[in-house]
Amino acid sequence: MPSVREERIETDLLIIGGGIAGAFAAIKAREAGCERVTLVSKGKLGRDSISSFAAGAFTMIFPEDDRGELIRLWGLSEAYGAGLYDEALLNVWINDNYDRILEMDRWGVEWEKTPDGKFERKVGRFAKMVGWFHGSQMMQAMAKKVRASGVRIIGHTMVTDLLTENGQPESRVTGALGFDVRTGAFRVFKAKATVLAAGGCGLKSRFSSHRFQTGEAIAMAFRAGATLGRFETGERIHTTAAHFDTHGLIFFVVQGGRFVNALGEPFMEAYDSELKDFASMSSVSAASAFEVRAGRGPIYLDLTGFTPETVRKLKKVIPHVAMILERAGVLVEEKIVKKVEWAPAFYATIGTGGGAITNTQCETTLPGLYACGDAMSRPPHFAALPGASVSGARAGRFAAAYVAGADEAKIREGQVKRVREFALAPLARGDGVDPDHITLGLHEALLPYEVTIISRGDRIQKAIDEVTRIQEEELPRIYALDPHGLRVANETRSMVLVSELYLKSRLLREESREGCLREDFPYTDNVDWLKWSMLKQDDGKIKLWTEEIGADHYQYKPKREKYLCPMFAAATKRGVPWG
Amino acid sequence: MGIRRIDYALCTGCGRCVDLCPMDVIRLDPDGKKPVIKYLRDCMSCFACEEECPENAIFVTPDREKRIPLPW
Repeated sequence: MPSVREERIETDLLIIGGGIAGAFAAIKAREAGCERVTLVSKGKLGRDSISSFAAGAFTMIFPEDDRGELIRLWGLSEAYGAGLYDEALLNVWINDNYDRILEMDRWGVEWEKTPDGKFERKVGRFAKMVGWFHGSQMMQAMAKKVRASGVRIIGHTMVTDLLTENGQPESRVTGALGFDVRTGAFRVFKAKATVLAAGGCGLKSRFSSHRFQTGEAIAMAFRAGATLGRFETGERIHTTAAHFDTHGLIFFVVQGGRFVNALGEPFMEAYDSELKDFASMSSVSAASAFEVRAGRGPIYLDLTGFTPETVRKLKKVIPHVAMILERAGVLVEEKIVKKVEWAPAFYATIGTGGGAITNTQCETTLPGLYACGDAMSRPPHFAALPGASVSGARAGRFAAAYVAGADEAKIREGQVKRVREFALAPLARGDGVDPDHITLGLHEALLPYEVTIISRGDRIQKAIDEVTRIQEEELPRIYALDPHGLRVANETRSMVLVSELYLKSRLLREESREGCLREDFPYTDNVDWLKWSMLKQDDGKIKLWTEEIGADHYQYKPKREKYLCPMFAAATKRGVPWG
Repeated sequence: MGIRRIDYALCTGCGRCVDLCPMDVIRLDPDGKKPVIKYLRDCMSCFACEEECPENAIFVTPDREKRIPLPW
């Protein structure tokens, strides 16, 4: 076991996470005059976030867009949660979006533009208007801007817990503790304020770029006593190839790719006559699951209709994807030779969904703690990258203002020792249960479609029981042999907690809507369920409750009605049993 | 499965892949001269190392290193 060194770092503002949200927070805090800004992330800044692997689609709202129409789409339409929305956050999201795009453009992010230099905007998945940046170049430009802004960057460091002023949960957050994932050296951060920007958790399921997204910020906010919420809502499922990893779905569908069942029938139109193959990933997953249940699985993405011209375009626009298809034996020379088996990929907290509850200034319920991007609780309309940009910028700006008026930060050595021992325990143990075994256990509990896609109370409860068993029997025995293993063990601990928060929130919501179908409660219930789920740690346990979204005060009010969720109605029409 | 080859005839030992791998799969060997595939089971086939290698010395397959249960 390597010796455990410790380094102390004092700063004004600590930012945990280096994706687009953390980058915006750092840049904006410096702009707002915050002297010492430190950004800590798990790998190399610019390469260690989901943002670094984003394919390029970015929802664009132009100042001339009709505001009422945007709110009707994002706030009220079926695809975005049928009225379960947050008016204040949606307004911020609409207002700030274009300014962030202009800034990214100024900082060197390359966008697709028209010959006269305007942003090129097209219809993307679920009726969004999207512009395009050039994949990994985006985060490289953002990282460059962070460095040029005079931010202290500490990479290859996994933060595991927050530190508080009185050493106990629910007091002012004054720092954090983490360790170097290569050397094992511990780093203790003391900060006047902290921004959480590392909340994404993909549960190491399908999707190549999500295996380092394990929800640390969610876990540390929970343990520090912050209020969290909205874990069960939003687009909780993405989709990808079943046996290898690819992206480029928007390109595929725009160019004529179709989801088909085992009989070769396209089926999306039957489930969503308006959006069809452009429907949300939650809808595609649910429709696929119903087809499988009816004995018409597996599901494929059929690209065999691509002409040589389309293939040439694919090679030009997303060469990386073309290369993957070639190596997977799908693309041979200029021809797609077989259909691609397709399957859902679970997104525990990525893009939309669970995180720390904040106001529009990104303040959490704990003084000195801000959250943005996947670390904040997001309503279904809060699209991933633009939402992270908008919230990251706000978190940086308002945290800088807090720092300007804040007292010196104090940390308690007793707490430092405690959280350090907690993080280090798997290495100190050096023997026991393999983290991969636990991850597979989580997959077996959560990934079956009847748990996370077309759900039912008894099946959710069974998954909760399994996660509880893992927590009691396996997690206390998780081991690591070196700092790398310690990283994996701590990632696994975060994922187990996020799984529990997700499942318990899912069980709480007794109705059905986009991304959250319940066979035992198949009605979309805008009479009783225009509510957010909330939770926090209470005496070592999870306390859950709901709060009204306050729709009666909204300018655009959802209709107070209860109706059979359209996805179930479509399943009935397709002859798929459910109940 | 995952990263399959580092061609040492081409590799100059610049360490770029070691620095950027988000899963820390690649490390410099104890001599500090050349990268080695140290934690293959954590490779997620993201292709970052292959894409950024200035010498085109790395080859990755899209096949998953680990079994992930299908939802059906």
